[in-house]
Amino acid sequence: MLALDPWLPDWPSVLRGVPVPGQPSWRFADESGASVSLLAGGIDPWVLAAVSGGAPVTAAGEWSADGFRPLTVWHGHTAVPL
Amino acid sequence: MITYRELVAAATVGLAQRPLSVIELPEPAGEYGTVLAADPAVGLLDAVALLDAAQRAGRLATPISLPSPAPTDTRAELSPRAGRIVAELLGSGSADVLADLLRAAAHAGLRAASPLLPALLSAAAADSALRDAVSATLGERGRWLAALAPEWLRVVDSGVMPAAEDAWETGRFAERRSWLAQLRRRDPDAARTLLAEGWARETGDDRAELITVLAGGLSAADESFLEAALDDRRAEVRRRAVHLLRVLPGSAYQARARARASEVLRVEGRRIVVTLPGELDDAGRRDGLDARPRTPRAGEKTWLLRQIIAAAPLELWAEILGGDPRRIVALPIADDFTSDVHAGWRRAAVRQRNVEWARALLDVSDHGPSDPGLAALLPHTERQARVVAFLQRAAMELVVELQSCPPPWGRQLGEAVIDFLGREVRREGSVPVGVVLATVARALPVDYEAQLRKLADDAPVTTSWPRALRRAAYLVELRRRFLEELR
Repeated sequence: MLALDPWLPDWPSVLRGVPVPGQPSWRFADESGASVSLLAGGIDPWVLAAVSGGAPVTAAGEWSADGFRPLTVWHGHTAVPL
Repeated sequence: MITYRELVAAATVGLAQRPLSVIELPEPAGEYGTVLAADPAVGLLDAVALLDAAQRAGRLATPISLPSPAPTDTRAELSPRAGRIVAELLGSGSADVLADLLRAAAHAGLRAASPLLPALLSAAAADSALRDAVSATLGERGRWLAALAPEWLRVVDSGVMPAAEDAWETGRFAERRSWLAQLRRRDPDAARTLLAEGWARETGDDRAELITVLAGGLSAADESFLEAALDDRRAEVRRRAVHLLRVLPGSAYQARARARASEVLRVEGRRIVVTLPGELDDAGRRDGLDARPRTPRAGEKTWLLRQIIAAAPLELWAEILGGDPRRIVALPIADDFTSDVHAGWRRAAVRQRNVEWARALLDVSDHGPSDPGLAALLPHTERQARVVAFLQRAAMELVVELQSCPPPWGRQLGEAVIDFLGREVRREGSVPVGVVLATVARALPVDYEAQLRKLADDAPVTTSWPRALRRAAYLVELRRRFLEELR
């Protein structure tokens, strides 16, 4: 896919993990604690944290080399835009 | 070494414009340089894809420690429809209506849905009028979330915060205060003793906050501690100590206040005569009296007179002036001091939560300015009955009177308000439309929505009534829909 369109750096993706507020930047971690950057620009990451409550949640967003930008999170059966 | 950015720049303008031979790529892509196509254009694309993949796949996940998860909530969340109403009210600046609905939700055993929590916490952090109501609907999830952001912590009701065993020694301030308040409920003396032990080491701000914990379970045993606090370096600590001593029956503070007050009023014939107080001395200043007037045009002496009267226990006046409150407030007062003496009594009645005095003072001030603080002391039904009588006369202090009746209103008041509005929409500039309707929107029984809309349709279009009435009807509708969601 990458070779077909190498100019598209952001890929839509659905990830499951725990958002971790941090100073200075947020992280998105799996249950083992392995984490990537959570890109919080243009979204409210606190809504994601509130829905997660420190437990893994499923979020849809954009994955790029810089990290994961969640755009929607599932709260039970409801999709919550961030 | 060629960067991703250089490759993108070359591809954008074309290799003919900007010739570029891909010689060396940064690691780890560099190891795969041999797989690039020989054609320069295709090779460029290959290099970009390779670099991008390397950047993405080459990024290592950093191990971090996860925060402890929120405790499980036992209360159910508000329905999504109720949640949308909350979001709408948050955006429309109707904080008082929102606070009422949240309290109703908490009462129904529900909590705010998780996605709403950040907006609610931020609104409550900025507006203290929302704090109690939001705090009541936070649930475990909300308290967990608030603990992650310092500016949200103040929203969390300190009384319900779980306090660890060692919170008093090592906790943050909110935890320490909460811990002390819990100890105070179990064992008032132990809490005071503990507070006194570390008192000298607390900062001024902390002392001012911690001393208020003593308001719960206040007793004569606290008196010497509070008396000592009257000499505190911090004015706010002294002021709060005065607040507590004033309502402590039989305290030395009360005896001093009585002594001062009994010198300023006496009965001569059938009227009250005022003796203005002398210069304020240090003992008076220590007891919280202040010679600098806070109201414009008040003289120092009359200002002091008000404070001395306000500080004394109201029982004193039956002893030196004779009779019940109704008779005392009806007595004429010599030399034009009526407003000062009555102002002192009104303060005292509010502070001492004395219903009988409140009623007597409200009745004599029927034609003067009203006092929501006094009215708040009266039983619910009595307050509403007063406003009904008021509306029929359509007096100017209507807004204050209406605001003195917290929601929900009964049918009698609801009818009277609708009738009143029906008369007012045809009159010009008689009442402040916006303020009246904000109060109405908050408290009117929810089944009057249609009547408000009808009034809006009938109101003259050149006035501000139609718009304000429609907004009020809309808020009443939101309240109705929200309350339906709680069933």
